[in-house]
Amino acid sequence: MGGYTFDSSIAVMLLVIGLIVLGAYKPNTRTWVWRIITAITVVMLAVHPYLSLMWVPPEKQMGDVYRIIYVHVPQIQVGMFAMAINGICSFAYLMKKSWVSDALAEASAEVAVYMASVAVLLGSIWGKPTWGVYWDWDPRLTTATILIVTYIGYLALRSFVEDPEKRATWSAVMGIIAFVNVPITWQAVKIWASLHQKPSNPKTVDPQMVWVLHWSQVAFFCLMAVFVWHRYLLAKKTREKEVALPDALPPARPEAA
Amino acid sequence: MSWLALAAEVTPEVPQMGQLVGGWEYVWASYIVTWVGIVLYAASLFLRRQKA
Repeated sequence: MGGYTFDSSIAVMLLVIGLIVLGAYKPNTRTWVWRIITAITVVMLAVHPYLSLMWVPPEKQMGDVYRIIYVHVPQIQVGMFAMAINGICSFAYLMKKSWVSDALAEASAEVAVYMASVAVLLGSIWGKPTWGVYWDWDPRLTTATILIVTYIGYLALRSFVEDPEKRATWSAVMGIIAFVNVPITWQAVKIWASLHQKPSNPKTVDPQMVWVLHWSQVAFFCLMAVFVWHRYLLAKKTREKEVALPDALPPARPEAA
Repeated sequence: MSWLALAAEVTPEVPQMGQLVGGWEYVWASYIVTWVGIVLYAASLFLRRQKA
């Protein structure tokens, strides 16, 4: 099976990133690019339960409970990745007003809230057998909760403001402010003495376990990409209706869906 | 050495101090939450795109 530094799941990840880049630069390839990525996502997620629940061995101390890692860790990671996309798009919007970056920011924030919320819920389920409680106001859990609440606020702000231009500008500012908490949450277990465990070193973990974790990370990364893409198309449709307003935002660039 | 292999086979696994045993209900709960989440969010995207 694959080693720690490079394995087949990382190769799939690079392939997917390559396809996304291709779709971004060559609009006429987008339809089939996203069909391929969706197919990869479906296959990887279909195999995921077998790999994580049956194929990979139990952990020495946590037994089978540690299998939650294969859904908890990738979802919080891709949730934070989606928050990073939101931060980048928010910054890009303030630099150059474009409905594309605004729509992508909206899409990534919603997917981030969904994935991070599920991840925190799974962490809570994991907490019961390992910590003895479902919840503890530990730094990682607290910062993650603040993060989710902030992005819910971001989405609420978007739904309250009717003027598309004001909405895009205000939410871009909020997106940048909200992003500040992402690295803090990420590093919370290292900054403070925390009940939440620190990241394991893959060098000291069974390669089979690392390989399945990589598989899970790539599968959920693909899922996040597919969700953001479809949510972006939805936001684009809504924006196209709104930009009929005379000078709200620059006109949409014609492109293949 | 065959007696050793035989002993290893018949000795029941005794959990060590701090070792978790069982807990599959938490694992199933986590996977169900994950899959229900995926299905619901995918359905919501599909329905909203149909409406838009």
